[in-house]
Amino acid sequence: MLELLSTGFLTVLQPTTILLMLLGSVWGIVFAAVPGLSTGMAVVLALPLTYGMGSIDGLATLSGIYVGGMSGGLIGSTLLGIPGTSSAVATTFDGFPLARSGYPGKAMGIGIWSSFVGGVFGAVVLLLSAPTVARWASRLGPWEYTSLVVLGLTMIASLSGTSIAKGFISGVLGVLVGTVGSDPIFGASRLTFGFRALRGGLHFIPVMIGLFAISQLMSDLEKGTEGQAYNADRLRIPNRESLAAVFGNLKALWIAMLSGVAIGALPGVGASISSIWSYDQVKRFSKNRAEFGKGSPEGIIAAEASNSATAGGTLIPMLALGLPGNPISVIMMGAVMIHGITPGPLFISRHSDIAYGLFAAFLVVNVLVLLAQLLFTRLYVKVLAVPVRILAPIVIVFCVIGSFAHNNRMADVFVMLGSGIAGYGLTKLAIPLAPAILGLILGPTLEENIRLALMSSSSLVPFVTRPVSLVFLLLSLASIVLVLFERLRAGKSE
Amino acid sequence: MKDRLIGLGTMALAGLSLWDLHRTPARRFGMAVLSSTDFPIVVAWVLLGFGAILVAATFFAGRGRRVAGVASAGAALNTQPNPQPSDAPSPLMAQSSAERFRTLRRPAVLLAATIGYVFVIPILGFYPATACYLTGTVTAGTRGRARFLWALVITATTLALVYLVFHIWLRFFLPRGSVW
Repeated sequence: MLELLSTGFLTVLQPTTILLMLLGSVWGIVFAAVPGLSTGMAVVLALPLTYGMGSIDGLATLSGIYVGGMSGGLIGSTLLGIPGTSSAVATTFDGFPLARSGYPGKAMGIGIWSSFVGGVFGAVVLLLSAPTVARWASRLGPWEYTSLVVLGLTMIASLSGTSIAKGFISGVLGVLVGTVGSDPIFGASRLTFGFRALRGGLHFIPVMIGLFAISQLMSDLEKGTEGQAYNADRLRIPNRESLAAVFGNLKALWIAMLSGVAIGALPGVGASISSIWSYDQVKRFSKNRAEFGKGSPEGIIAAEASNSATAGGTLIPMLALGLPGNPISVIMMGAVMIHGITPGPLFISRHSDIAYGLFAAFLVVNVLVLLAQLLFTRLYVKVLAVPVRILAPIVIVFCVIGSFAHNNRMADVFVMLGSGIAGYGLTKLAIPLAPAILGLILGPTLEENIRLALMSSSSLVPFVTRPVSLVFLLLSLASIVLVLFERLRAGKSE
Repeated sequence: MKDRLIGLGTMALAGLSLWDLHRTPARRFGMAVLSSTDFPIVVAWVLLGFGAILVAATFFAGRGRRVAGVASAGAALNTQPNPQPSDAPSPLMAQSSAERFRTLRRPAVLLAATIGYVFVIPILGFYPATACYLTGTVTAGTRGRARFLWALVITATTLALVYLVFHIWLRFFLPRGSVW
């Protein structure tokens, strides 16, 4: 294996390939950072650029975009409070409050270094244990997936803010919105209310852009948020302090990295879920639980280390089993196939040069993304100096582009606008938005798997007789009971 | 009161969804236990349930508050010899509604402009619509004498960047309108 890996490094460490990976990293960071653009869009838009390249160069460039996109989401989340990607939603919870409290450099530094450590960990796991993890994940049936998604949905309870009922209303509303359009098994239309435009469904990207970007901008305008001018010290990323914060919270780091890789390796579950799940778990096991949501370094580490580690985990079933884990890995898989390679169980043995080249590229790209983040972060920090009343229309223009580019449909722009107005309304009514997004992302997966499970056995019994499924269901129950217990205890102490 | 309205609104939305789902022909093939509409129907019923819980919670909370209110009013009567309630809004309240109107004006104006912008794109095309939208909103958001000039600079820079990146570099064509 070491011989194959060293050959992989030799192939990747060519000046042209390094330059392409660096450009890909910057490209991915920019697309993930700018609200309205996304990592998936960055990969899709770069795909034609890789046609003319060799397999390794093309895949290395796309890896750069993917890893850059995973890391770049933290810029929008931390500096603007607007997650550039769904995987960076959890970064907003603590990154934004810390930046707002006058420490954007520290918030960015912790995010960047956590992302780097998580990314490298993900790449190492991808390299070392890909076959084992993928084999385990491939054994899960629809019962286990259903229970896993149920577990994901119970996290709504801890994202609910002051009212659990409002949190669940938001989450269930997200699931219901996710069912609009064609059903995942037969393609029959539901909940279209007679509108033909709704038959295609409401994809979560325009909805997410509207819910988070537009409503956040409106709330900021309402508060009269002015541009924040920081002095030179505050613009600097305190690398030593950030590294100390990252490695000083080893428990949070390990929980985040392990959950990122493990959840990333499960098909259908991506970085958005892993980061929220990891945030929830780190918060639960933290001694400083009260600091979460107010700029806790542990919160930033949980979100960033997890979503970057997911990148490596997601590629495990994609490369080893030909099973893409999330929309971006679907695009990545398409890109690999464009270069004449079919990912699957035989991929690593038949195309070991390309496979190990890709593993090596994945490790190198993390270093390049770190450099790209550290070199250009000051420019991004300056975005904060622009008053929101000027920034808002420009961001909205990018939101329009982002919504349109997703499917080249003007209907998606209207969906984005409608979601933005709805999101602003929900914010005014003190209904949390994060559960709605979680419901929207998990809803279709839940429906598909519960229907597949019932098609296989037409009974609900296997959900509790299959050990892994039972464990997930028990964890779901424990998750809700713990939150209710904490609320009751907090109520009594007040 | 606000929570009660949210609960009732949720129940209405769930009811509307159930009405649409029940009039949609359900598809079921072969071994499928669940039809195409069964899952959303269950979800809509769950939503209805949560709406009902929120409404019910407001009644319980209201009763709790009333009990607490009577107790505190009794305590107040015992300590204050001559309480004089008044229905007229205090100057402080009047000021807060004016303040509220002022804070809501900015997002309302931008939201209205954005709705207009999105609806005008299919007519004017992306670039002319964006030029109008950005110039207008940035002018409104900038201060000083040269604000229109600033707005023009920001608009031109943004559009040039978008054109270079998307049109020239990526060959990605943004929506065209019937005018341009």
